[in-house]
Amino acid sequence: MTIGTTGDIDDFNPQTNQTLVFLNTLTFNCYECLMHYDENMDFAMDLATEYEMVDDTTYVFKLREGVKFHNGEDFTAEDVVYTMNYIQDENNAAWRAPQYTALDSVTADNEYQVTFKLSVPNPAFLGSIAYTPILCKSADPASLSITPVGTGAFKFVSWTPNDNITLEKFADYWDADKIAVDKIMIKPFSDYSVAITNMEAGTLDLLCGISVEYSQVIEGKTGLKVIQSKASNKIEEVEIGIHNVEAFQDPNVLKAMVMAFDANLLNEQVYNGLGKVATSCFPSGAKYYKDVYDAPFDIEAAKELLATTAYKDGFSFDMYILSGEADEEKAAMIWQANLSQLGIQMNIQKCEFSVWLDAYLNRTYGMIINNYPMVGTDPSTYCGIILEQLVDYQTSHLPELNQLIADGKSETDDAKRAEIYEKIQTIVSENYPVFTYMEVPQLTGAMDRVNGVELNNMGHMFLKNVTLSN
Amino acid sequence: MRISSIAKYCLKRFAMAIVVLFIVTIVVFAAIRLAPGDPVLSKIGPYGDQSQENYDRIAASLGLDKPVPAQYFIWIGDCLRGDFGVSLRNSADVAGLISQKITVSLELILVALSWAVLLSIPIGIGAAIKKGSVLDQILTVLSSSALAMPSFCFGLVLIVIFSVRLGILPPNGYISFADNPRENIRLLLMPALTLGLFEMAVFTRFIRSETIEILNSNYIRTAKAKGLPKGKIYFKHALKNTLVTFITVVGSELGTLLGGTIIIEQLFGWSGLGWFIYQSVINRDYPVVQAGVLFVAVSFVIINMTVDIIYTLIDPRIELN
Repeated sequence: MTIGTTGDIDDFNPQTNQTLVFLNTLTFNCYECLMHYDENMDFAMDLATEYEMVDDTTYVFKLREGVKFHNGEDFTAEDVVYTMNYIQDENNAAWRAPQYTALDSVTADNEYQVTFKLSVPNPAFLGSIAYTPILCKSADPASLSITPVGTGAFKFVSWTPNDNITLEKFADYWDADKIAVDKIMIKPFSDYSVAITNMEAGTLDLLCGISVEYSQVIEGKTGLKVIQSKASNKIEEVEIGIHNVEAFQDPNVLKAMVMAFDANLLNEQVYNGLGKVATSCFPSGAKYYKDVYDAPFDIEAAKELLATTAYKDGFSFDMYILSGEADEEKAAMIWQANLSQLGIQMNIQKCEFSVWLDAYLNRTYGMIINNYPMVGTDPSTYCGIILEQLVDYQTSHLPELNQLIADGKSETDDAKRAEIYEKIQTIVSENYPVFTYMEVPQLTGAMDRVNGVELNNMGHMFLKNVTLSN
Repeated sequence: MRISSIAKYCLKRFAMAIVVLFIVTIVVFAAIRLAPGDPVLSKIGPYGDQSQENYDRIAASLGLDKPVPAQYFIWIGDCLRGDFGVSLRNSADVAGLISQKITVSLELILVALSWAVLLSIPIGIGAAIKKGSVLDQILTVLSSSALAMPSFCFGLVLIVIFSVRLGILPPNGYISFADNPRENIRLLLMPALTLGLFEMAVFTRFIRSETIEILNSNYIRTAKAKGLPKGKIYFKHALKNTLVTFITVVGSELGTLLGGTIIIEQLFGWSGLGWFIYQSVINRDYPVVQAGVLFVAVSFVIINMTVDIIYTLIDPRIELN
């Protein structure tokens, strides 16, 4: 089976590579977690067989016996301990480290049982566990980036840069009888249209992470189909650089701009109705989700509101978007046209990834469009990654919001959490440190002969049950 | 006498080449660092630990914490010892990565260049001999179309015809000749045809105009007056003189071909050096970009020197100085 991606994978260490192309194709097929989110966003057991929450800060996992790593080593509790220590070792620059700041200790009770002890309660802890791949303690950490060693259904064979990554069925996999595909080749393509032509020619079985635009192209071709997750955690959002554009410090200016954003038109014209217009900063699959947006599209009302501010004559700002994200570009262009009616000039800066990332992390943008597939269903992960960590400087003027984010992380009472997250959504919708405008579908192109692809709401693809019909 | 002058010339060019390559190292080293984007931030990614401590730690681990001039001298010193460093993305050996890609691109370039040269010579001469005829006009239109058509479009048309409709050629991929000669050739056909098309048009037009000029020169008129056979006039006297300047054109077009591989390699999944360097620029993988560009620069210097020597061997009137 051949899988197409748009972009090569050049780092195979699951603790340092956070690109979607790696997460969605190779990570959960070469590696396994203790458990993972399935298509219904329920926990499905992988390297663990069961878990118990002993108290607010203690979790015990019973591990699967008879599991082997690709290098032939047995999987034991020591590998789980090693993985957590690896993530927490700051020298390894593991990108999941911020999600384990509350992890106090992890101990191997015996060969097949491990206990996690947290310093404070963390309701999102299980969600983090469900997408943390387990490393092999005996694998050379220095070569993890080019030689992955996991317990997954498919074993890494080779990587030829910009050409292919070859995986083969792992014969000693604990559930090997279910694996119907002997070999997987992951091939990078420079362009979706080229990749689709290859699907038509019958040389490409799956094409990951396609936009709605390309899904329509695929659906129009004989012998091809589109696989869609049941729902989507992926949101498109605009983050606001309030310290770079003076006008953005006035919430009414931001509200007027949001009122000039025609999300329904965008969904109709660009997402072909497959998107879901956002009504909160959280995706609708998040726990405690609430419809809180109160700024429907209305250009005239937007003009009136802007006229009450000090920026009634308009202003200009830079909007950064990532090159190659056609849907985001169209969203920016639709908004740009409407904002011009308010006298606001949006200068679209289309950048390649490293330039976009530079602007994003150094916060040099006026506005920037980002897409984010929320991990799991607990909104504390969204708050931790988007609101707290990345937008800290945008929210520094909202101390109540930051306090609520901190409270939400460790509060265990469900009713209180619901209250906290409702308040967070309300404050965000009134002050717009970020503006989520669309939930976008997780789509994968496939040849008709491909069956059994498991695609969860985060876009992670699980291939062990895939079959290829003639 | 002639051999010693070639040796002297080579020595002189070698000295010049060192200066050129030294300048190239400075330019490429500075240019990639002046471009916006930061490899350390690429490592951290959008969701990693964004503290200054983490940034400093990663910068130090990649050797990017030192002042830029110090980084340059370390790199140059390592290059002179044959160590081109490791990729910032995955610590893979850069020399190994580049050498893996060189043969792939070289195969594509040589085949594309060969068919372009071999076809353009008879077509160009034929069009010159039949100047103004229907054949000449058809060839002129075809070569102008080939020059005007973006190679990406031509490549896609080939894929649609030969892979999607007829299903006789694979649309994408690379297999080395040593591993599977038949499949290597099948995979090579469309990218080589696409890459060589533009060059064939350039060469054909050049040979046509050059031949027309030569055919109008006095010595050809004299040869005709002496009653020499047409074949001898065209292929011995005219072609030989056309080739003198044609070699220079072919040499200089090698640069265009190398640039063209970036697009063609991506389109056909031919994983060569052009696409690899482009990807490394996007990733701000400094050591790979530096080594890749340095290799290309060295190739150019060698090609130019070789072209100049061949030039003088074909036409002894030209002196090596």
